[in-house]
Amino acid sequence: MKSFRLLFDICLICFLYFFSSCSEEPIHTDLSNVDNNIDTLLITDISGYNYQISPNISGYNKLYVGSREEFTFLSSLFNFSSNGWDTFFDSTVTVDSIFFKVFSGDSLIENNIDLNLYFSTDSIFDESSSLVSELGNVVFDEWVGLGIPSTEAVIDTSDTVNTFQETILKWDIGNLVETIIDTLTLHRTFSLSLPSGSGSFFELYSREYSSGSLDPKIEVYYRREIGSNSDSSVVDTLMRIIYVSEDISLIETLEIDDNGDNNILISRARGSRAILNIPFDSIHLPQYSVIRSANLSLFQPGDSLDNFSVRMDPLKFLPDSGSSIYNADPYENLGMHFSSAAVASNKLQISLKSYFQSILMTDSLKNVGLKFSASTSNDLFESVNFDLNHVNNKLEIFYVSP
Amino acid sequence: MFLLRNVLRLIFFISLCLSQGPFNSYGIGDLQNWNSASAGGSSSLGLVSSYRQNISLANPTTWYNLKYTFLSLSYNGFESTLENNSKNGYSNLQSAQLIVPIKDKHALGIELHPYSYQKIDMIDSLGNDLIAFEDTLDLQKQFVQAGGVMAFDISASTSIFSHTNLALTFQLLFGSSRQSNNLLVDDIPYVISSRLNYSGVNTILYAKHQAIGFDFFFRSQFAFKPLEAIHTKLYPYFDTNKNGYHDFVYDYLNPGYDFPNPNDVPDPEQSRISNIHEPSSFSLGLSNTFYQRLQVSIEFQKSKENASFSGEIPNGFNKRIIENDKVSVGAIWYHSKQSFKFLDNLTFRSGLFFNNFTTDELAYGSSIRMKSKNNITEFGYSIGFGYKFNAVGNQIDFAYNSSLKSFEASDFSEERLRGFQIGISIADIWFIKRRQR
Repeated sequence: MKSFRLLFDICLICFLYFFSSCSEEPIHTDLSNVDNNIDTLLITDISGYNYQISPNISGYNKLYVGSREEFTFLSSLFNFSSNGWDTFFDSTVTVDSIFFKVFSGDSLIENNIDLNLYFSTDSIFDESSSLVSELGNVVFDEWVGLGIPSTEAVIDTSDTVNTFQETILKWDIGNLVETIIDTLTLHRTFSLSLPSGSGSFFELYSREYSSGSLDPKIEVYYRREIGSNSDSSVVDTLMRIIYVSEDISLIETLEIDDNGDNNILISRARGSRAILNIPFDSIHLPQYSVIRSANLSLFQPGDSLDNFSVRMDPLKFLPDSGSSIYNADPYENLGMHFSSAAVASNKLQISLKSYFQSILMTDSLKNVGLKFSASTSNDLFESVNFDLNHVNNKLEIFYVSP
Repeated sequence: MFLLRNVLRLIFFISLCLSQGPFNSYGIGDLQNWNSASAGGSSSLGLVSSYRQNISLANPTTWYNLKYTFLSLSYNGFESTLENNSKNGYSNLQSAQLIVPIKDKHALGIELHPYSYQKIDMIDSLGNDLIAFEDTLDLQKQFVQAGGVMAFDISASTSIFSHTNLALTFQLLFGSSRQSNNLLVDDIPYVISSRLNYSGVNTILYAKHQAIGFDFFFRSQFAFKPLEAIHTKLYPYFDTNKNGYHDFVYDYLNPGYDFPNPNDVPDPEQSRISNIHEPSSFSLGLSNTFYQRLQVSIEFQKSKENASFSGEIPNGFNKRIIENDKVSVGAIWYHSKQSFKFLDNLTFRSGLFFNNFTTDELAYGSSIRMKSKNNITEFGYSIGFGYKFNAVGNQIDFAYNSSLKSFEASDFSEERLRGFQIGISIADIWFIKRRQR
C-alpha cells in the first residue's frame, strides 16, 4: 500500500505540474472569412419646414409682465391650492394680516410701480395644459383690484460690502381675507398686470426658480386662542406661508417673420418649431445592422449663437394639415428616442442614433419626421435659425452589419 | 477514501482550466480521441484490449470478460502549443462509465463522455484601421466559442458463438455551444451572439472474433439520426460595458451602456439546422499476446463526414474535417494474474499513432463546400501504466501522450499536443445474486 501511495503521489504531482501551466490565449489567425462589415451612409437630402404654436413657456423659472424687445407679456397669473386654508377658518383663529409676495432679482425696482394685482375666485388656467393664446383674452373687469405693491430691497449686510439679494414686492390683501380663507373658495387666482400704455417691464422669480424661499407666496399672520374658559391664554401671532401651486406668464403671440427660403427658426417665446424630413428607412441598412453613430449636422446661416439647446423628438404620425399656425401642437411626439444638443460654432450636431436604430429593429415604426424645438433650459428670448440649403448639412451614419 | 479524496481534489483543480485548439473550430469541433486512460496509454482506437487482457473499456464485445460490475471515471488534460502563436491548456472529464457483465456471456454498459470540444478564442491577425467622416477607427475581428457536444452511450453485447461476440451502441448526442462573432471597433465589441443546441443519434456496431491465435476486431459507425441543432440567433449589439452580456448596466471602467437597449431588440430568431454531422466509419483491429503478458496490436480506422454542414453555422476557420484515416500500433505488458508483488500488478502501455485529416471549406461568396488541397497530419506517441489493487480488481491508470499536427494554415504550421490522462475503475459485486443464509 505504501508503494501504491508513493506512486499515486508522484503521478498526482506530475499531473498538477502539467496543468499548472493552464492558460487561455487567443489564437491569432486570419478571420477574413468572418463576415463583419463596418460601413457608412451619408444623407444630405434634408428638408423641413417651420410651424408655430401658442408659446409654451410654462415651467420657466421667470415670470414677466410688460414689454421687452418685440415681446409683450400681458400679465402673470398665479394659482394657489385650495388645501391648507381650513386652519384659518376656525373660531379660535383670528387673522391679523395677509400679504401676497413675489420676488425679483432686479435691484432697480422702485416704490410706487404701476404693477397691479388682481384676484379672482374663478379657475382661469392650468399651468400644464392651458394655452397662452387662449388666456390672452382674460378681462380683468370682474376681478378684484388689489392695487400696487410696496417694495423692499433685501441687502446682505453680513460683509463689509453690502450685497443686493432680491427685491420683495408685497401686497396687503387683508380686505380679501374672508374670501381667501373661506374653505368654500375653490380657486384663488391672482394676476399681475400693467395699465394699458405702460412701458414698464418686470422680471419676477417663478416657482420653478428656487426650492421655496423665492417662490410667489401668501403670508398669513394670525392668533390662535387655546382653551375655552375665561382664563384662557392667547398665543401670540403665528405665521403661515402658502406657496403658489401654479404660475405662468401670458405672452402675446408673434407671427414668425419670413425667415427666407428654406430657413427654419426655433424659438420658445415665439412658439416656433420645425419638422425635418430625413429620407432614412430600415431598408437603407442591412439586416441586423447596429448603428455606431448617426449624427445630424445643421448649420446656421449667419451669426453664431452658442449654447442654444435644441431638442429632437421623433413624431408618432404626421397630421393631415395645410396650416403652419396652431394653438396646440398637432405633431404628437413618439415619446421615446428623443435627444438634445447645443449649438456650437454655428453648427448643431445632434445624435439620431437611438431613433434610427429603433426603426431598423421595429417593423411598425416608420420615420415620418423629426420635431425640432427649443429646450426648456434656453433663455426664453433667444432663438436659432438653420439654413436647410446649407451645403454642409448632412446626416452621417456609421454602422456595423453581419 | 484516500483515492476518492485525491481524485476529487484533482477534478476540482483541473475544472478551473479551459480548453481550446484550432480543431475546436473545425466543423463541429475536435472529436474526442480516447475515452479512457488505458486506451490513451497504448494509442488504441478502442478496438483492441487495453484495459486488461481481453478487455477494452471502449469495446463492448470485450466486456463479458469482466468479473464484476465496473464504474470507471477518467479525466484528461491537454496542452496545445501553436508555433509562434498561442499556448493553451485544456482539460475535462474524459468519461464516466458503468459496465455490467452478465453471466460471462453478455454485458450492458452506459457511458457519458464529451463527443467534441468547441471552445475557442480567435483574434484576427490582420487588424486594420478605417477612416470615415474624418474619424479613424481601429478594427479587429474576434471569434469566441464555448461549449461542445456530449455523448451518452448505451451499449449491449452478447456472445453468439464461442469465439465470436457482437455489440451494439446507441450514442445519443446532445449539448450546446455559444458563439460570439465580434468586431472590435475602437476596442468596443460589436457582438453577434448565437446558440446551437445539438441533438442526434449515432449507432456503432462491434464484432470480435478469435481465430488462429489472434483477436480480430471490427467496428462500424453510422448516423442513426444525423446531428442537428436549433440555431438561436440574437440581435447584435455593442457591448459597451464589455462584460460579455447584452444588458443595461453602467460600468465605470468601461463607461456607457450596451447599445441598443436590450429591452428594445427583437426576440431571438430560431431555426433548425439539420444534417450538421453524419459520420460513417469502419475500423479494423488485430492483436496477439506473446509470453502470456505482452500484447501487440494494430488498428486502422477510416472515417467520412457525409453531412452537408450549412454555411449558417458559425465557423471561425471556415473548415471542417470530412475524412480521417487513423492508424495506431500498441504494445502492452499486462499485470500478472497470480502474483501479489507490487511490480507484477502494474500494466505498462505504449503506442504510436498516425492521423491524416482531409478538410473542406466554404468557397468565398458561395454556399458550395470545396475540398481542401492540403491535408493535416498528426503523428504521436503515448505511454502509460496502470495499477491493479484490491481483491475485486480496482485499477488506476495513467497515460501521457504527445503528438505533432502539421497544418497548412497561414498563421501557424504546427500544433504540438501534450496530454495526460488519469482513470480510476472501481469494481464491485453489484447486481450479483447473493446466496441466502
